[in-house]
Amino acid sequence: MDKQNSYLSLFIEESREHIQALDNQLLQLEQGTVDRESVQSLFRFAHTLKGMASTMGFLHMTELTHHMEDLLDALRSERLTWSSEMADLLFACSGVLRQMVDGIDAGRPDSAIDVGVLLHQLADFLGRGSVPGKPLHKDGTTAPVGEDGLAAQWLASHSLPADGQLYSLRIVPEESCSLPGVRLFMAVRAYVARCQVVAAQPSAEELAQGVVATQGDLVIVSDLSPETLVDIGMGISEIARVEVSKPLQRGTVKDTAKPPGTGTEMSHKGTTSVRVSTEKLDLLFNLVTELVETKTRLETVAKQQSDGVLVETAEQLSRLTRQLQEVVMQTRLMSLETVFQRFPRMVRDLAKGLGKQVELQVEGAQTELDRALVEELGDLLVHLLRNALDHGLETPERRLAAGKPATGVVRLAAYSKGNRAFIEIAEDGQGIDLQKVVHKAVDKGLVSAQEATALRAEQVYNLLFQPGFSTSEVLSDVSGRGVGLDVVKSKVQSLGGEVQVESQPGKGSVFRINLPLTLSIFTAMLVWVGGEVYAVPLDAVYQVYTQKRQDVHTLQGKPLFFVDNQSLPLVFLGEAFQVPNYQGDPDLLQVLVLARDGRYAALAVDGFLGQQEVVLKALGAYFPKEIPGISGALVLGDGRVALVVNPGYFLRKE
Amino acid sequence: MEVVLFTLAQDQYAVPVTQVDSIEPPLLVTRLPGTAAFVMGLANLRGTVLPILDLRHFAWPTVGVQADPLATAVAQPSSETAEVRVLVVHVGEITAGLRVDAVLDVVEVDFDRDVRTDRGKGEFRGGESQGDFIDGIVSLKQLPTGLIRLESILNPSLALTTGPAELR
Repeated sequence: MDKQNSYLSLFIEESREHIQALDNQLLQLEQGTVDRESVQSLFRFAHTLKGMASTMGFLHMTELTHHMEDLLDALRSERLTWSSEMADLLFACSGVLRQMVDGIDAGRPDSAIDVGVLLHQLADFLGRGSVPGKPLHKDGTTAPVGEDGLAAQWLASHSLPADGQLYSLRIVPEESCSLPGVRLFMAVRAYVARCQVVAAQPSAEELAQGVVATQGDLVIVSDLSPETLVDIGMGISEIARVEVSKPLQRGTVKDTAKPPGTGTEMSHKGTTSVRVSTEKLDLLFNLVTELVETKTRLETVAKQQSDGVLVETAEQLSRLTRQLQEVVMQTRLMSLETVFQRFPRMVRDLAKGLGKQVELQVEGAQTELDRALVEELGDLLVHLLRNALDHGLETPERRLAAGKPATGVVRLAAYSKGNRAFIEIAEDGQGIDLQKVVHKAVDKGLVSAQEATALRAEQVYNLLFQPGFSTSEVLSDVSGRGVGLDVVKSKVQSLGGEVQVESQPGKGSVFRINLPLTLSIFTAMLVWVGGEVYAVPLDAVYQVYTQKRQDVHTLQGKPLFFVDNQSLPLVFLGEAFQVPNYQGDPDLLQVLVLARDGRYAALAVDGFLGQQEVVLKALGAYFPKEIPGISGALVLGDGRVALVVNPGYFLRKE
Repeated sequence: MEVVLFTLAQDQYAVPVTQVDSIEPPLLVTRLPGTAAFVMGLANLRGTVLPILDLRHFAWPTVGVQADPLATAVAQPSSETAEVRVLVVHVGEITAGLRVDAVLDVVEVDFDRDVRTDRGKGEFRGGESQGDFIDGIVSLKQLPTGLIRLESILNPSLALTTGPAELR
């Protein structure tokens, strides 16, 4: 990646973070009290964005943020007061900023989006509020040069330089300067070119990233005269003044930073981290998955050869591989925060558009999942949230009529249990009308009227996920657009997960997604059925039993299996998967009981082949749809392909 | 344009070289339940899981293919199947292996001069493909050769046998 590109991607990434922070702050302001501090931080976000955009030469973005900054400055200095109109306008601005950054990311210039209207509106606001008011808040607390904290901090952990004098410097840009951060950055660079800069506050790096600063402090070592030092800084345009201290000695600085003897603690505490490109992480992950496969093959060979040394070496390799794999999988974990944080804004806009009142509760945003899963989840959750707001929640009038508070609650919660993650989207809306769903399904020809009468609630909910199903009577602007719940379902399944629905009429619905925490590598129990080998994810295996065939009870001719006082329909896997010439053992049945999330299944197989670390392989583009009962494939130790059973297909609540 | 020439029983067929990724010896195939009859199953091709399709089902849809497990035929080459190859082909994102009886050669075809697209279309309509399985007939090596239309074969909407509403 060339330099320009790496700056650009850094810019895009950080702009998104700042726009997100701006949104969050706006939401807080909208819901809570308007205090000086929140306004100040809003101003700071706008200001930083402006600095960043300007450094990268995105003039339209700079202009928009500049005007936002003006508005926020007026608010900060109490020349304007907070209003919901202002909130809407600022939200609109941040929406446009987001579009601009997305556009830049896609290679379009920021000028592709017209900001004229917004600029007018911003100017209108300012014009309306331009009553001579209190002057701008000013920070006049400038510490005398040479006695500030920076030089003291530096001296606390360093000895005086042997060559050259130590100076403390303060650079102050002109007040009218529109981009003080950029000017300071240039000044710092000018000093770096001419003398040894040992400390800078803010640092050149921070300035390059758009940190807001109204002045810069440097500690330098130089043989140059103080006058020359001043000239270096003054050579940069829009720098108002440069203050240079007398040569510093130990003792001439106030040791404000730390008590003596603890100087070494100035360095960063705790763990350090570096940025690693995701490409490298992906490569590392791919190599590890290949290593795991090779290891499995080696284990198979070692067992066949029954050579003690070989078996031992293979076991050792296996242990090391497992440790390596764990570490690599951990580097891939990412919290859901990045996905969740854009929802408050989205829900707010959606609710406004739909004329509904919504409170969004977010829980468990810190839950960590594999990065690939987190990235895929975003769009799915957007769809489910839209669905919840559009189809789930009622209008305030209808809610009041039903004796509920006018404001509906949508709860987005994530948590992990074992090695699976759960994400719930719940609302206290009208619930799913089973009758309506069934009618619709019959209309659409998804089930016959006769079949429909025998459907259990769970099966009716499943109809919602059928392609082409939509219960919305009016094709609304919000959900009914292209993607349906069937897309959500097949996407979740392709990630090794499931979607379930629970609903109570009048009380609301819950959509629950469960996913593996990590992608691809998992432990499976291998079973054989009529000469074919299948892998069952071990986390879904509850118990294995051996039962005499003659002891199997039947109800209406259908075999049942009893576990923990529950009766489960006994599924013969050989029949379910149409294994050619399947007979099964005439006397003994091997029964695999699966359990997940309160649902169970009993599968009859011919035998168990033990557990194995396996790497899940996608079935590829030729199979875009779910194959009933199969979630993917894997390569066995002997190089053959085995199929992975999708437990969700067989599990049911009874 | 260059094409890969291959046989299915007595008949000769061809696919464009640009759509062929590799030619492989017989691979072990794992049966995939719930898929169409021509889907033989999945094979491991250097760590990638590849669907293997049996072209014979397209060539003679009405006659039907022998009932013996095809996977075994591919898996264990006998004297009859020693020439059997898997042609790894792609259409856009979709990659699959096609089981053919033998791969003969790579030859040049002049489409403007040699191909008569109006002939053979109706006669070679694949029963399991929605469109025509043959794009036209061309004479190559003194034999009539069917130009395979891969878009009709690598069609995901044909892959599964289960109906739209799968209710448990």
